[in-house]
Amino acid sequence: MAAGEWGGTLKRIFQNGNGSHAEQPRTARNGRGQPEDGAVQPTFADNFCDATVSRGVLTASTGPESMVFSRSDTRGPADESLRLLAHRLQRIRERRPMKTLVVTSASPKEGKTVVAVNLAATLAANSGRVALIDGDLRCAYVAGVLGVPVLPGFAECLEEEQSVEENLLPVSPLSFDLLQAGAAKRNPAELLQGPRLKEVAMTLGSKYDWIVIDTPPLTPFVDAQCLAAAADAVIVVVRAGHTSRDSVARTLESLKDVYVAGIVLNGADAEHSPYYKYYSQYRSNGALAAAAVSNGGRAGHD
Amino acid sequence: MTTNLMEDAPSAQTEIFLAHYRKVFARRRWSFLLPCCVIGLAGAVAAYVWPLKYQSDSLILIEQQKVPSQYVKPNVVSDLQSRLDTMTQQILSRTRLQKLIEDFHLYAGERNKETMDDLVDKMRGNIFVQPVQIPGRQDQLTAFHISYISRSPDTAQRVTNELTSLFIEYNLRTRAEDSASTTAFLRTELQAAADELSTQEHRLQDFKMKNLGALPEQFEANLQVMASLESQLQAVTNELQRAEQQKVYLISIRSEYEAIGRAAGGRGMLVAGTDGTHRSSDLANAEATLRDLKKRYESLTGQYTSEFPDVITTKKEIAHWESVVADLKTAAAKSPASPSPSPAQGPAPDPGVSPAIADATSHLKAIDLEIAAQKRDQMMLQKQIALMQDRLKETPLLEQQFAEISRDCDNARLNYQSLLQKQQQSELATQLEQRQQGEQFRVLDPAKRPDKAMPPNRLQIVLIGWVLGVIGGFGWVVLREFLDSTIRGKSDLELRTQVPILACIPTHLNSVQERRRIRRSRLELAVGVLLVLIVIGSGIGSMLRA
Repeated sequence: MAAGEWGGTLKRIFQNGNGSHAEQPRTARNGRGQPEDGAVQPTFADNFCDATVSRGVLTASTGPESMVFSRSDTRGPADESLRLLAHRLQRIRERRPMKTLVVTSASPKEGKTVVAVNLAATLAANSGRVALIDGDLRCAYVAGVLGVPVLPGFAECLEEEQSVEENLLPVSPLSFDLLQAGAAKRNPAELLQGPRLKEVAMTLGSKYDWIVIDTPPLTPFVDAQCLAAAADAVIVVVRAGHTSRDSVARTLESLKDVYVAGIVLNGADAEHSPYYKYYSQYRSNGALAAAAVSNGGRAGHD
Repeated sequence: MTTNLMEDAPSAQTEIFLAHYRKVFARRRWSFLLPCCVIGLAGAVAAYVWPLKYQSDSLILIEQQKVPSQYVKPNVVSDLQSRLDTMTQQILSRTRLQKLIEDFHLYAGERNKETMDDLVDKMRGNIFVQPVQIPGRQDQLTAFHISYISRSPDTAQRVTNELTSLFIEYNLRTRAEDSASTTAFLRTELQAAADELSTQEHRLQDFKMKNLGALPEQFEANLQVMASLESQLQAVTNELQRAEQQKVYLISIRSEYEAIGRAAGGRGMLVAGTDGTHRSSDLANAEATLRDLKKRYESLTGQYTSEFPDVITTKKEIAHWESVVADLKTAAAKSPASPSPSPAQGPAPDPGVSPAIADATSHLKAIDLEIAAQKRDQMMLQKQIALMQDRLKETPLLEQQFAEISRDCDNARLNYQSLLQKQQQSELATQLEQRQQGEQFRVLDPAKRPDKAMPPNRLQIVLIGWVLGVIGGFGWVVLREFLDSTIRGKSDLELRTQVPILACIPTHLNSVQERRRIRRSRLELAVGVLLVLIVIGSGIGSMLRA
């Protein structure tokens, strides 16, 4: 893809970035799993997957501008939380070899896709070589979050139709490579349980420092279990006010055979935290300083 | 520095605690506001549409009877409270209230929707009879209020006046009826008591007649009669002994005379002279005895009837002695021509018996007669004594029966006298009631047209509605929070899992969402202000309508 196309796509996405469902449709596919016109035609599956969330919680329907924090506000609390998450993963890797991370949740609409995208972006900003795999072969959304055209990807690699290298798509502004979900011709569970998954993982593992895999929810599909078994660690996304306590317990119970690195609590209100005031003050001071520098520069030019 | 940290810990905890509830309230604000508004507005609407009602009231004074009760005691129950309750029940009966509803065209709007029974119940609920109690004298009722509630002030006044008239009229009529009924009852009871008394008196009289002379009240008299009879018997016995001694003496005298006569040969003169003297002496004795008997008979007839046994016996003795006197007189008349020998003196004396012998013989005959009379008297007295003894023995047995009969008779008499007194008093009381001089109701304050609608206070209804709304809102919030099983925060998650929490990503809003949030906040603020205005408006509206 040429740089001009990327720029046009991102520009279109950022111009539409209000988080509404109609402006961020899922990719419509034909019977072969390929985009019909390379553009966006909403389907029933898209509507199902892109439920609107109005509270600004990190879910897929919030919109690109808000979903990739490092592009909008590098001093926001969400961005700081992601940096903290990346830092803790680094610390864990110092004690335990870990490269492939599966991001999953108990049920849909808990924000695992956006967390995966932002985690990949944050890791890429810190560590360099990061690959993001859209492992949700049934309801892919990473391309929609990033506003990139839908291309063949993970499914085709698992079906041995295409190599991994030719499907990796560099996402320049975020400094990581994306392996989209692609269009699976067979049942995704069969593909993920096949031997090809480990080969793909090994291939990517040799090239990248971190491999982040976005997955479907743990229920009702077995896809996330298969991907977790092939990964080094699992990150469980729990959305405050949405995920039930029983779901959390069931999710952790189903992941008892794999290593769970930890839980990411999404949508947690930090307003009552004693550190929130300090943090807000810090942001305000930073903004004022930036404005002063900007004004001083213009005054000097004038 | 460590000390400062320890001092800051409680305040930080409090801040977190308050922040938690602030957060809960912020999250559940609509769960609070919706029930609050719905219930509050429902209360306001209820207060607004609540129909205005008017209450008219009349005060009735209970006047005591004009004649003092120590002269004429009322014969109608004096418990005013119970009588007022009875009157209330009578006047609030279905029949009377239905007539009132029809006469005054009450509940015209509800007649097509509700049955007459429902309307009667509704009217019954709108009528109040309230006694006026004097402080410190709770048991004394001096007046009472009658009130009626209606949507029309005129109707309230008219119905209250009608109810007042009904109470007064009913009181007069029922008092007169009750009094007359009491008097009639007492009259009937008095007649029954008179019959009973008559029956008991006849029974007592029959008993006395049947047991005359043996009655307990005659016991003392019988004892005296008994003593008298015993003394008489003793006297008769003494006389009898004396007569028998004299007879023995005379027999010995005559035997001596006869021996002398036989020895002297001149007995004839003695015997002749003795025979005439003897007859005259017997006649005199017989006549004396007859006189005594007649005196005794007169004495007995003065005390007893002719059927009394002593009277009968005396009468027979008189007849006997009359025949004896007659015989002696006849014998005395025939004596010179044909002297007859005495059969009791053995062989007849010779014609030439001396007069001394004759006289002894004559005395002997008289003594025999006297002894016979004494023996008869003795027997009669013994019979009378036996009779008296029988009566005295029967007296204790009759005493119980007599006491029972007497007691019944006394009770019947007392009952009759008591009823007679009551009946006379009741007659007086009835006349008093018929002349309307007894206790009666008097209207002290007639019902007037109400100028102002009665409570309920609409403002209170509005306030209660909003208070209930707030309580309902809080309750709904608490219920939802209690039933909410989702993870709410980091601490909640930490409590339920051992898995480390890597990061807490807060809510992130882009500029569009931030603008939308601001718009929503403004909308919520506007709704809040509107609600406050509605609250104030509903309160003011309710007050104005009230």
